Amino acid sequence: MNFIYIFLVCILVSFFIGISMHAKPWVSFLGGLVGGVGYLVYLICPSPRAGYLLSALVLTLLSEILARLCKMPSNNFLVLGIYPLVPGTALYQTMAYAVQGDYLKALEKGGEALVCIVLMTVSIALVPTVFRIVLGERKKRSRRRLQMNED
Amino acid sequence: MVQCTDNQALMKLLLKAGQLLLESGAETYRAEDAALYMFRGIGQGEISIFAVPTVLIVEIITEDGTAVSGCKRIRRRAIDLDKISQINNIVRKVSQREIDAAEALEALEILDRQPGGKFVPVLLSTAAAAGAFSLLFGGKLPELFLAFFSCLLAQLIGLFFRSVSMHQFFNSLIAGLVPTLIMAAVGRIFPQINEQAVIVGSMLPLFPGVTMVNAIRDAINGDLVSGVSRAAEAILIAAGLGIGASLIFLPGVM
Repeated sequence: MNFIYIFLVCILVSFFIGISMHAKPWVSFLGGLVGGVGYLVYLICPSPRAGYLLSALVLTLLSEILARLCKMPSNNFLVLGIYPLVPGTALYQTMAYAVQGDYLKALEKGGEALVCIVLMTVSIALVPTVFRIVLGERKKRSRRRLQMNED
Repeated sequence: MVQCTDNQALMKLLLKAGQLLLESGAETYRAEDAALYMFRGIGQGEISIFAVPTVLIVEIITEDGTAVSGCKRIRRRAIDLDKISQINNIVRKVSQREIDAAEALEALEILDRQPGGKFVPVLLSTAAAAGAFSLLFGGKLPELFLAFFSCLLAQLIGLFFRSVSMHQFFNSLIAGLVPTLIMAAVGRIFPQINEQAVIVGSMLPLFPGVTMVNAIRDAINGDLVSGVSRAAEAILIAAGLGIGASLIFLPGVM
């Protein structure tokens, strides 16, 4: 019961975020489903760190699949799905403790938020690369590198 | 569909597509890829593209050795996911030679002139997202309404700042400050309300999620300059939220 409630709330969060970013309602709703599934994976995992890694993995995978089905940029789904996972409480507490002068607690909370974001980064970076290798889309990328100036 | 021999027109198309993508908050590599795929579809010769979040440079060298180059400065940056996917469709059609350069440019111009979504629904849905966030952080109905209205108020105040064209930093500063001020007042009267759910909930819709994800994707794709500059933007906005929310804890104020 509790899981269903949280799932629905996550869909609402991502849906309204999507509308506020000018996405079409059905895209927002799909993004909401992605977000809901991602958050459930996070809740099921035994430790929050593993939860962030795995849920971001599932999120990115789902949005890559949806992107290919709907012929849309995968970012549209990923961005919406990731919002429920943002470690907002930890970030807020970091600043609140820091301003109050409690640096030890601020560092603890800040470190927690940072580790969460880094773990999500790993997943977001990993999945599209693996996906491309599996689908054999490598050629395009390497040809692009030859023709383009590097930063 | 024949290949486009008029490089001036082609350049116009490539710049417009890249500019619109960057302005609506797409990843930098998507803007580069868009120009590259379209050129591969209908262009001839060699192309070099360089894009960072604030500028786009394209150079086409034709087979007889003449060069056409163009540069576009990107001044405004907003987030419009629908526009990105529509441009993506146009780019795909051009690269598969379903439409020619003139048609594509016309479609992009129409897209550019479209108003960026209706204003009131965006405002309301951001506030609604704030309410939903407060539920996610353990709030109930009173927290939902408080988060909804404090986010709405913060955005209306932020609008004033946007009209005098200030950086998004101030906008996020306000978005952090308003809910804490409201909760400081409301929390005195109703101490049983979950303060943290309201404050964090009404801040998070303005969290720079798109910028953060784009920064990661750009950096992983090897566009280091774009990745780092986007990350800096995301940190600046997030810091604005955090500083705004924690100003009230400054010793001596409370």
